[in-house]
Amino acid sequence: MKLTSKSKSLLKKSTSILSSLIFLMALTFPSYSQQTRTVTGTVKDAGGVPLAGVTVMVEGTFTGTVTGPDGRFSIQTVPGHDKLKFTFVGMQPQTVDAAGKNIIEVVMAEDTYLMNDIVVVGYGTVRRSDLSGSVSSVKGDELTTPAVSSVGSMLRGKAPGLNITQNSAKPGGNLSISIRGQSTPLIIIDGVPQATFAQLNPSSIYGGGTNDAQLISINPEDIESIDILKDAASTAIYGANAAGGVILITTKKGKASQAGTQEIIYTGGYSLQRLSDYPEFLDAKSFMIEQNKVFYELNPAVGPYSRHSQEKIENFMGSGTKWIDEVTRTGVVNEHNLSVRSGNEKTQYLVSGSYFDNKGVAKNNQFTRMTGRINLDHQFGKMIKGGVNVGYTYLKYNNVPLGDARHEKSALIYSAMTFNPLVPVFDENGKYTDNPDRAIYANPVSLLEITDITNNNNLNANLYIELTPFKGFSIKGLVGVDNKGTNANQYIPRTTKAGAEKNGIASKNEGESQMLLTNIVANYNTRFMSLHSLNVMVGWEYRKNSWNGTYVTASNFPTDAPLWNSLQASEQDSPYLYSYRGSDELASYFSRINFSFADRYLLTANMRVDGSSNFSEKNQYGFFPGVSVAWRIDQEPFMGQNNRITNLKLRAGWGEVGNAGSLSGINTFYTIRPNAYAFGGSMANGAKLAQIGNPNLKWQTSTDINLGLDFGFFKNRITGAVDVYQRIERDIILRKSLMSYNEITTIDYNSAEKWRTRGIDFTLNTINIETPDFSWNTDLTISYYEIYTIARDEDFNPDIYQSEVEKWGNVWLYRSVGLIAADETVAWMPAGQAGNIKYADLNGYVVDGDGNRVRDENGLYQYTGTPDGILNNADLYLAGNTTPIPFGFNNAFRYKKWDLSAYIYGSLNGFKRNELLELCSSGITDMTYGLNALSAVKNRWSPDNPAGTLPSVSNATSGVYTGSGDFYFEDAWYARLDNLSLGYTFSGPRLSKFCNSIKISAGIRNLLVLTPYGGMDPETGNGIGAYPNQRTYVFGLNIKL
Amino acid sequence: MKTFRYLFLTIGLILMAGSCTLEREDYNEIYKDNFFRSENDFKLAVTSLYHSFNTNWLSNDEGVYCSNNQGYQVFTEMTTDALWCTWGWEWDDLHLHKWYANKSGGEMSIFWKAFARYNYLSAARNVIRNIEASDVTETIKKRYIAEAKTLRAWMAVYLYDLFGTVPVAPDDVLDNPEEFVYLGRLSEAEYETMVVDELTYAIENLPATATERGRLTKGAARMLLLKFYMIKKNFNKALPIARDLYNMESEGIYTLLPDYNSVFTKENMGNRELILVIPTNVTNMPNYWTPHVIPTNYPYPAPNASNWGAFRMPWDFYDTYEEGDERLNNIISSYTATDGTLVTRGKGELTIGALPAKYGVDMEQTGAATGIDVVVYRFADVLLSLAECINETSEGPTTEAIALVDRVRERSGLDGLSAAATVDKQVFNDAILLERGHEFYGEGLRRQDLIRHGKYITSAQIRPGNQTDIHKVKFPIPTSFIIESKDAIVQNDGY
Repeated sequence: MKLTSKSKSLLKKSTSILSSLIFLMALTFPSYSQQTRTVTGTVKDAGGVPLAGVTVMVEGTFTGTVTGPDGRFSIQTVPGHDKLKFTFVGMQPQTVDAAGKNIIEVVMAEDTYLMNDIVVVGYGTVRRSDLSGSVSSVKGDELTTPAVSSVGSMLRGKAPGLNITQNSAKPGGNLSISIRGQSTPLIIIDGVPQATFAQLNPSSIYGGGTNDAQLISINPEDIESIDILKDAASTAIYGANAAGGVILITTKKGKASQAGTQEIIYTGGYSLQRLSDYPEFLDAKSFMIEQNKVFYELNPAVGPYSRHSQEKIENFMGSGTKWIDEVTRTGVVNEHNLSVRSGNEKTQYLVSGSYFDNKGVAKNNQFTRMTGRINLDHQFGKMIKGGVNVGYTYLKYNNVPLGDARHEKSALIYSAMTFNPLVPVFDENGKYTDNPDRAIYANPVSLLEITDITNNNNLNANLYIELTPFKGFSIKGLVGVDNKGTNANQYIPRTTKAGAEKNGIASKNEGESQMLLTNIVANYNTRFMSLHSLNVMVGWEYRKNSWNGTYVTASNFPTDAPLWNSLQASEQDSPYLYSYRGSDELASYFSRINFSFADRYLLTANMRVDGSSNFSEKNQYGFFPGVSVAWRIDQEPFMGQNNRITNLKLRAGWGEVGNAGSLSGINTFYTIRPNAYAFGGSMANGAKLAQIGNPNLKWQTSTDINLGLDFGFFKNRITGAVDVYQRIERDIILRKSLMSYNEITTIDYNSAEKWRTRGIDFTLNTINIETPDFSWNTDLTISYYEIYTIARDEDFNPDIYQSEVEKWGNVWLYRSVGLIAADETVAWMPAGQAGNIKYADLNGYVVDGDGNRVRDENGLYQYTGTPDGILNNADLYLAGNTTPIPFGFNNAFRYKKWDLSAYIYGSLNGFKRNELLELCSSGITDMTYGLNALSAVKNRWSPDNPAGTLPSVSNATSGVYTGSGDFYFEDAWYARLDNLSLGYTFSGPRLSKFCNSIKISAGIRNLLVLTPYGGMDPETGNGIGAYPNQRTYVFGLNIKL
Repeated sequence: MKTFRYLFLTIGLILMAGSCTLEREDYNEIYKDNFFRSENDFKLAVTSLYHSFNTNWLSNDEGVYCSNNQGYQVFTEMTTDALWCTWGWEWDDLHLHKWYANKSGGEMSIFWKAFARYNYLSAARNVIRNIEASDVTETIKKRYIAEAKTLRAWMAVYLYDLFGTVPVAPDDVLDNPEEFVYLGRLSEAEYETMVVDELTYAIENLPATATERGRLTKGAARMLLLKFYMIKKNFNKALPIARDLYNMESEGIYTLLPDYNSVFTKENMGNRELILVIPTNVTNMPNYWTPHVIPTNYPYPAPNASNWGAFRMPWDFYDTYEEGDERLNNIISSYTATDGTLVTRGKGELTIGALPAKYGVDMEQTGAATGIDVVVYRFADVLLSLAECINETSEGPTTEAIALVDRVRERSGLDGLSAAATVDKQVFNDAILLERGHEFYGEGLRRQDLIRHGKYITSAQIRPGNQTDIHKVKFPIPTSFIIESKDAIVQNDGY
């Protein structure tokens, strides 16, 4: 908002308590009896255009004024203070010594320094310099990474306080997004909160894995900026839904240009993907040797060659079928994006379209996205402005079965890992071969016969009209919709084992979710008494969130040909049917006041009153306040003209927000239990009590305190920010276990537990070298937080290792101390046999004479302090912690027209169970079924291999669940060289006939992962059948017309 | 003052816009005000109670009668001489009695899920009370209450068989589910009163014949009461119940089929020997026994079947059958595998035992799903139980008792018991136990029969590698329930 003298004069006419107060404040400052004098002058920009609204201050005092429409000013100096300071949005501040001068001319230079970027804060924007809350911003051009589908993946490590983890490496795979350790942030695109895609998985044994349901549908090239509201002082404006933080995405707007020229940008890329983290499994010969050994080790009576003769092993040609090669390929990413921005003073528009296609490394697996967007703004008259932002996205997933299911339900990757390597893909009759040891397993290649397609479409649109009856005051009305539809279909044909059993299985699932929103926001902006700037925003909003869907699964089809498109052909007696519909409503009032004095003392107050249909009648309305203040120290007179410290701002904030979204436990209700019993062989439905409601339930409240410091040193060669914060959550909605004899054994309630998060977000941007030919910039972000439970429910019944105050992410495990030796008996592991993992008996419970555990006066169990010969919870030790420490580190180099960048992100902490190794090693008896195992299992203990470090074949029956011990847990911090790219930009007079510039680039994504973790990828390699991560070779082209 | 006019106008507009009521909708929720108001509601609620006894093995919704390791018939019989499994793991631990109160995983999670069903007694009680409180006519109410009470007693007997008595929440505790009342186990007398009261009401009010396969009847309620007394070894009280059941043959309700193996075929589902079954079909609620028994390489006739069986009848038990026993017809001791090799005793899939393929072939078997009803109780059990009760309550074997046993033997092509087997009470009792073992293999009765006859532990002691102990006649109560109850629940002796 530019300030004008007109608005100033308007307020001068009115009297207000506020201005009198400030007048009184001013009186308390020392005054001098010396003479004052008047200095006048004009302020212009570099082009000689007069600048209106420039703040002119007598440095070291609170005396100041603002330039008029002609750029002229007149100011009374204060004796002893001769320096005048000129500040204006987008211009570098300037100080002029007016000693002995009565007329001065000032030319202000444009400020390219980031600090004065516009930050979106919800229902409005502020200059970064005026911001007092904790907000991280990422610009669109810092974001786009080639060969990446989701903005979420691109954001990894880019913003301090934001932790994004890609849970699966499949194209379009699911992400976890967390802000300061809180999950499920509110995501808002151009003012409209996002509905989430219904995650529809067919009700068959094969699911395609979870997709990114939130950020996948937006074209990254359309994004102008992403602003992340982190503390409650900032998020309070979103009240009852802001407990997880808020991510505000702003799309690019049209651009006015005097000549009416268009800015046309084409960005494209072609990339190839290869598997990068596939572990080594036994080849055919080793498989036969190990399978023989496993049979032998389990039962020496069968002899050492019970399954495969020595001769057969020696004469086996080749290394057998490498199943993973049969189901994977080189992945290809094709992406094209075209955007046109243009406009004149009255109308500006952006039109863009994009195509992204990723043929995954798993055969048949493909993700395609097409997006289109029109953003249009038009000035209808002097007072009325309006516009539309419309984005449409179509997504298509060709899914393959994924997941951790085993045996007859094994999905593509897990079955390719473990299918018997001795048999070829097809038998002599051209049919898929079976596992010779146990025929229940589906041949991995047969799973590629399954057709599984998910289509999504997303319409995100809003329309606004803004009235500006006079300068400084506006009313804006907005209507928005976010409509997300999902259509998930699957057909399992007879050529697969599962399909053959049921003569084909078809699933057709549809789901729709919708967010409707309307709001009116009035905004008043003024500057009074020269130095006081005030902005008041008041608004009302209504939104309705609705969802509905239908699932059908049927089997027994006469032919496979129609897939799911002819369900009436099913001869199944009772196909599975399910449909649902629901909605909730929210009506809210909200307001924000920004007040600043002398551009150096800033105050922001946010407040919101939410009424939600999710709240019970007792608690129909919630009030959520947030206040923050900031002090721009660098603007203080005592800092003087200082090139070393160019920016120094101290911020402090407090606020409270809620999480009404999880208030689903208010009602007691019954639900239909379909197909409950088969009286006479025909299915009958039942109805059961599904939930007992808690009418006293209220939203959970988070109270934040945030302290921040923004800094810029050496003409802003070094800039950055550090934020420390504390969040206390109370009235936490938990599902409490009721006594287990009750019909319903859980209930939602507001717990007496309190959770405390303390953390620090740090970002540092440095320009290490800056010459006309060469530059080197470094950006670093790092976030650290700890969440503790600091208070417990009254009925908290701690086990011996639990305490009142406990850090989240702590993992308590038995300590493994090698393997049980051949002639060893371990008293506390009565079922333990030679070669089993040996756990330490570290401690014990104090027991009374009857052997009952004794509690002290606080109800706590007591440690004996010495081993007691029993392995139980008293023997658990704190083995590790899983809280991530996310970081991002970018280095960008430019030499003439070359540019090189290297981006690393990761987590400095991680602790994870290597489940694949655990399954192959402790579950090695699966080899007797003809299943393959990791090559590592050769190194297991056996009477013939007493030096082996992995447990023996009998470990599974040792009586201790391997997940309770630390044997298979590993440190899993990691640093990924996510993107290394080199580019060259063609530009110059000869090229300018055709276009402004052409940039070609080549890069490698996921070149390197540094980690101590021995399993698959430390980020995406979860479970036993994880989609393998890829290394991507990228070729890019960018043309600006 | 233009400024303020606009401000007031805005605030006015905003306040007007905000005056609407907020509603939440969810069409899959049925609220209590609209439920338990008609016979159809009772039907839905009672059907849902039946659900717990289903045959599915979906995780977290395992039925009491599923055929995997969570199933009552399977995991109890796995601890006896009549059933074993080639899969190792918890199957071996069950067979060799290698369970301990402090162990985790494997069979302990089976016990946990079984004990956790004690809240079914509360759920059924709530349904009964809700029906009682509704405005529907008494005759309709009685029928559904009787059914719900039988279901409640069925679960009570199941729990009692596994663990002994369990805590049962009184009505006032059920009315305040949010309060934490730490309940101990009922006394033997209290538990007996509960079971007997429910079943007495049920016997009075249930119909003698089922309208549909699988519905509870007067006979099923009597059978449950008989089982309860038999587990308690209260033969005096068991005897009249057994007689009542026996007399139902003369009423034309139950009888012994002439051919043992036809009791378990698809064609004969709903036959007159059956007193209680779990009704099945191949699509939604199958019987999975056969695929658990038939090995992968067995030439199975059903075209869409997929079998991967591992359940075996140990050879030692197999050898106790007499030659010519027709019950052996479905117990496979050799077969020609799909690859043409002959699999015989002690080889390959028949290493540890024979294939107890109790149920006939269902040609419609799809995958592992067969559609032959799971047999829970049948008339042969009435005959043998009556014989046992008579023997236990008299000085020595009576003619009547011997005739009852012989009737069962003769049905399977055997002679009556030899004179040596009826020489005294103890010998006759042993003969009854052996006959029961041969007759009811795979029907989940072996464990309670052995325990009642005092042979559960001794028969386990001869299995190599066993870790049995006298206290293992009851399963341990999972520790988490004891901790939850703040030690109000007392662990079974010996653990």
